[in-house]
Amino acid sequence: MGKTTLLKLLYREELPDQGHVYVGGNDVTRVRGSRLRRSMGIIFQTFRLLEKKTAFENIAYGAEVLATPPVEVRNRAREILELVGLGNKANRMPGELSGGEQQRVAIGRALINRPQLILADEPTGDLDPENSSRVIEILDTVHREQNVTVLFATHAADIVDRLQRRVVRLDHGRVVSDASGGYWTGREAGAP
Amino acid sequence: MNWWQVYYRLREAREGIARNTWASLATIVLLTLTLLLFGGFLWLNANLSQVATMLERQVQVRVFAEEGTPAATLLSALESLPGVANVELLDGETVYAELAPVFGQETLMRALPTDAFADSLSVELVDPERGAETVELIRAVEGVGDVIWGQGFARVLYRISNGLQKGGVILIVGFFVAAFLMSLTSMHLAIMNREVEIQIQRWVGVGPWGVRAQFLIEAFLLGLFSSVLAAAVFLYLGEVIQGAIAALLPFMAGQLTSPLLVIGIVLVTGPALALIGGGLASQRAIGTGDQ
Repeated sequence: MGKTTLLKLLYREELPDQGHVYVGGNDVTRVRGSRLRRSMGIIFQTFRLLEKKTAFENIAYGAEVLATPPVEVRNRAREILELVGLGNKANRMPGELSGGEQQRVAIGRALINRPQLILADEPTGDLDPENSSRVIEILDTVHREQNVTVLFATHAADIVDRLQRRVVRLDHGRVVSDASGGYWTGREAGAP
Repeated sequence: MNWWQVYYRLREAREGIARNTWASLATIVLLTLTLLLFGGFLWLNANLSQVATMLERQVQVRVFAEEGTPAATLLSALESLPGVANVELLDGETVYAELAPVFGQETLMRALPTDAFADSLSVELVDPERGAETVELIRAVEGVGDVIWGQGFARVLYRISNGLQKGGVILIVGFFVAAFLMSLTSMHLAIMNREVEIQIQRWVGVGPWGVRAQFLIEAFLLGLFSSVLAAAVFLYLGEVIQGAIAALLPFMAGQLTSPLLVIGIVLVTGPALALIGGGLASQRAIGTGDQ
């Protein structure tokens, strides 16, 4: 089982063959998928934006489909555009944005419904170091200022080291370490 | 579902149709044509039923009594003949009253002798194909005067109209299925084109029915446009065709089925078929379970 599968189990895209998966104290197999996902924001390596909607509309879309009143959607989308540093590019289409900017729009979309948990699956995988840093900064800010739990799945040791947070290391689907600190801190003594 | 949800879904459906302009137009045009053909054959079939009923009357045998013999006295003698299914006494005044509004009172009086409206008997045959034998038996009955039968042309028309009616039913079912498949395919394509939208909706917590709602609304709108267009064309053509038939065949005037009923059926059929097609297509793509 890889990290993507683990995340899929958390947002109930897949169900466990055996054992239990708990999110916020709830067994995910006993909660409706749609209900569970309303408390989450999901970010992927590929941005998966709607090509025919602007940056603003892409972010707003996440709230509109949940029937949030338009005024609230507009205010929240503007607020988030500022948070992800795209206030001046609200009307740009995804094709007019760089990869890093597109990923920030995707983060904005994940934040629009005020999630308690963000699941980020290799969100910097397709980005250059500069854009990766920007994405990490945004997620770190959201975690610190909005008290949102961020589960960041990555194989990039430099990112883990930079964040200096709790690191859970998986190897062939098994937790091999769970500790605070960087990538190397989380490794077992003697491991390569 | 609250009002904002309805508003957003309608907006997304409208944008979805506008975004795929050509595909949507193609669907509307094809669905309109199919509905037109469906409605056209439905109307034709309804009118063929009327024509068939009229022609059926023509292939019946009309028996007049000899002078001095009341027609009613022949009733039981004719009923007992082999090959006779039913005998009905036709009051001359009633026949006159039926024909007068169609051809005009003066025309009838000028064209037909007074005794054309004498009482008569209408004999329904068990098998019109073997009518000649039965007619000979009728002619042999004492008191029988003129026997009108042998309208070969009417028999041929009767056969043709019956054949068309049966063929029409097959065509109606065929066009009905075609309209359904068309809406199913177009919604299937629409869903495939919007895979990312569906994924995003699921990720933010929209349930399967919420996701399907947009496609159902979109299918309904496409079906509604198509059926309104078909109904408008049908309304116009229906008037023209009815006028032409009434001019060519005055005896059919007032006998034709109004196209309004068929228009009503077309208006309901378009959106209903599109909804079923959209529902099935989205069920296959999205499912109903909330995983």
